[in-house]
This record gives sequence, C-alpha cells and structure tokens, in this order.
Amino acid sequence: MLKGKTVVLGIESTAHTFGCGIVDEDGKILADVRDTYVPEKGGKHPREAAQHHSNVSAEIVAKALREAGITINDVDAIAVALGPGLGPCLRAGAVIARALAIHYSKPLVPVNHAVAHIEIGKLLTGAKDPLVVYVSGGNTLIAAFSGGRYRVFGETLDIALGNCLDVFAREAGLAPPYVVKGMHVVDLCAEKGSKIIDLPYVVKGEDLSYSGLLTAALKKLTEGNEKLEDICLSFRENAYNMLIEASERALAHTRKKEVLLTGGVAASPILQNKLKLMVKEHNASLHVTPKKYAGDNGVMIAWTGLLMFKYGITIESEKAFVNQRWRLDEVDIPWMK
Amino acid sequence: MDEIGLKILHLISKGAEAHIYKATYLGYDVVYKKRVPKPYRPPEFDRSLRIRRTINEARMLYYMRKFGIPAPTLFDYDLSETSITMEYVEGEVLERLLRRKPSKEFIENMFLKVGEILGKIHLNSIAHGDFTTSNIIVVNNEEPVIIDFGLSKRTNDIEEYAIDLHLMFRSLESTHYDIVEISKENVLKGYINVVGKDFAIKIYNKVLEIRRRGRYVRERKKK
Repeated sequence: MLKGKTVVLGIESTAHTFGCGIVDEDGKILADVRDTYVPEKGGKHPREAAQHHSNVSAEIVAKALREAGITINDVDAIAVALGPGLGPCLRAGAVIARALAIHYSKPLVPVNHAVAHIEIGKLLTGAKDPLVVYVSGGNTLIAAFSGGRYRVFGETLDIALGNCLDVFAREAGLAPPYVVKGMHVVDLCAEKGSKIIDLPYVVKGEDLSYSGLLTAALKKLTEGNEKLEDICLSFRENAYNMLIEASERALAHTRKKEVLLTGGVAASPILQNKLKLMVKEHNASLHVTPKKYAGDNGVMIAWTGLLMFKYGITIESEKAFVNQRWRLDEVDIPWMK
Repeated sequence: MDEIGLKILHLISKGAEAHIYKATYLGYDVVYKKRVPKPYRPPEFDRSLRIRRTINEARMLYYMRKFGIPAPTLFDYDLSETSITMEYVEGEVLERLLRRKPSKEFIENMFLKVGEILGKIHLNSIAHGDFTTSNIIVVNNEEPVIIDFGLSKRTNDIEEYAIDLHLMFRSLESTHYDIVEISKENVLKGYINVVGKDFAIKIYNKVLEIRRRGRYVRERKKK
C-alpha cells in the first residue's frame, strides 16, 4: 500500500506532550499517538515530564506503527524535534529517535518545533504564505516567510501568552483543569464579567510584554476590591488585544494576504474571533490550525521532517544534539521560494 | 476647527492603527492622522486607548520640536476625532527606500544619522517605543525624519531606551537581513557619537539582557 511513497515517523517531546506521528508524502496522516504529562497539582516540572516521556516513549512509537499498519522497515526516515523547548524533555525524545535511527539504519531529520507548527498548519488549512501567529504555553511569536526563512517580526519580551493565562488561572483558583468544554477557564470566567478595569497594555512596536499585565492582574486579585469575573475580562481583553494589535502591525508591514493562527492557545474561540475581525479589515484570510493539531503532536514533526528529507536535510545521530534555544529564523526553508 | 483651516484632500495610506490623509491646514500641506476604532476591541476600551495615544503623540511631537529632533511639526489635534494634524514631510519611508538596494555608503551614512537621532531622543529623556525603518521618512534622499510617536514616552528608564535599539535591530533582522551587520554597526556608531561610549555600552548591555530574556535566544548561552 505504501509502494513508492516516502514515509516519515516523527517524534515530539519539547514540553509536556510525548507524541509520535507517521505521515506519507501526500500529507496523509497514517498515525497520531500521544500522551501528555499532567501533574496532579501545580505547574509542570520539566524533569518529571521528561521522566514521563521516557516511560511511555517505546510504547507510543510501537502503537503508532500499529495504527499506521506498517513496520519500522516501511519508514524512510526518523524525524525528531530537537528544539526549542525544555532540555530534559527534548533529550527524552532525542534518545529514542537516535536509538531508532541507529538500530534500524534510518536517516535522522532534525526538526525545529516552531517550523513544524507552521508547516502542519499550512498543510491542514491550505495556507500558502501566511503571517504566522504562534501562541502556546511557551511561545508567543509573529513570523512570516521572507528571503528563505521564517523571519520573526514580533514576539514576547518576557512570558508567553499561554503561560500568562495559565499562571493567572492557577493563582485565581480557576485551574487545573485549564480547559473546560473546549474553553480556557479564563475565557469562561471572563464571559461573566461586565466591567473593564485599567490594567497594563504593553505593545512595543510588534513586540509584547505580558509580565506586567500578569503582575497587575494578580495584584487586583489579592486586593479583593474587584469581582473575579471583571478581573478575568479585563485581563483577557488586554492580553488578547495586545496580541491582535501586534499582529495587525506585522500584517500591515508584511502585506501578507493570509494569517495562520497556531499553537495551543489558537483553540480559543474568543481569540479566533478577534483575529478574524482584524484580518478582514486588511482583506486577508484567516486560517486556524485544527484544534487537534494546534497543540504539540508528533504528526507535525513527521510532516516537516518529510519536507526536509525531500531536500536531503538529515543529521548524523552522533551530532543530533538538542537545542533548547533553537530560533525559528535560523532554519533554512528550501521548499518555499 | 475644521471650517477654519483643515481641508482633507485624499487618503495616503491605511496603517495598522490609523488612516493617514493628505490635507491642507491654514494653507500648509499637512498630514491628517486619524486613529480608527478597531472592531476587535470593546468600544470603551478602544476609545480610551485611542485617546491616550493621540494625546501622547501630540505631546511628543511638541517635545521633538522643542528639543530640535527632526519630526513633523504639530499643527493641531482633536480628541473627539482622535486625530492629529501635522506637517507633511515630503520623502520616502526608509523601509521602502532600502528595497531599492542603495549603495554601501548611503546605508552607512543613513544609519549613522539614525543612531545619532536616537541618541538625541534618549538624551532628552524620551523613548520612541516603535523605532523601526517603517517609522523613518528620508527627505531629499539624505535626511531622516522620525514619525509615529503613539507609543513614545517620557522616561529615564534605560530599559525603554534599550527596547528602542532592540526594535531597530529586530526590524533590520526581519526585513533588511541582507544589510544587518553594516546597518547595526552604524546605528551604534551614531548613537555613541551622541550619548558617549559609557552610556551607549550600558544601553547595549541592556539590549543583550532583553534578548536573553526572550525564551529561546542564542545570546542566553553566553551567560
């Protein structure tokens, strides 16, 4: 059934999700298996997440192969996310990817996690050359293709939007769980708010700063003079509108005709709606990575690995070191003109 | 006020936050910059943000003139319209001009001046807040004039000054990646000329610190 078609197996382990995906060169998803580390309470400790990844990795890869109905012999290359991300987590993925590559004599393809979010979004939404708004627990990035690479036009100067929302939710006693019925708990709580309180709104060019907003919102919580619902509403409006404004500046600057929203926070219907309104004003179209693939997964690593493999980009296993701070704009993108 | 002198002629461009019109005011050629409501923001939130920025920009244009920094002269502002009327600066936006691949000498000279102007802005306790090649108009193919002061502020916080340099570097890296080194070098050279070496080093170290703070940056490794 796979005669003549290139098949790549991808491994993702940059943060709290260990995922294994298998795709063919037509972009057909043959397998998508993942397991997410969920702490019983509080935040995620990188070392505990890494331990989780090591425990489940062999089983997840085996399960993915079964799901695809193939054996490792049918796989043409192993792709692995070597960064950016949390060191211990990255290493857990790199270990199994290197082992598979060496043991089965398969080429190893080093994939940048951020590039993978963009490429899976393009594959699944049909966007060709979008302005990318990538928002997750660890990333807040506005980028676009120019001169052979994805260039960063704006990003957070401190914490990521997802992290900002999660920490606030946790401190306010709204989480965990962070997402209820497909909505972030901050979004849910904000729906019941009616008053907008003055909080820091910090846009610097196309860059953003969320730490001041988080601190001020937490202070409002402890002061206890405002309703939690109003604080949530004000906090969310500031956080989202800052991102939309920076994106709008980048869109006006790059004159792209498509916007791709991706990353874990992309699932927020409130954020999607705001972005849709902004994009319309610039006669551009909005593309949102389907929820299932907006968060971290192995499929995006497999697909990006496949694009790279087609251009002969591989790495020797001995040199496949993880790179916690591997920037998006350091990666050549030969498949775009 | 309108009937006294303002006559709007035509739309020049639609920016991210404002519509820019060519107009005349008391017989002068002017730019009429109107901050427009954004449908994605709640109305009261939107309005207070636009008013804040309009007041801010008008005030900053006044300071620029007072301190002798090349920027459009303020003619008028109107908070009910969230609009500003300012001198029309005839020239070309630096970002677009650079696309025509000017000579090495031109680039060196231009960014040297840009660095000097930024130094002068900072010496007067102001941070621009959006200091990029898109917010510089080049007059007579040689003199840079700074525009767009909506995000500017009066401050003595060196972090804000460092962010100006960071934003200029970022715009060079994202949009003018073929001339990053020579343009950066000359911005710094011009900046040092005005603020002095000690202060410039302090700001530059802050730029590196800000970049280290970003989650996944190369610079952090040097720590």
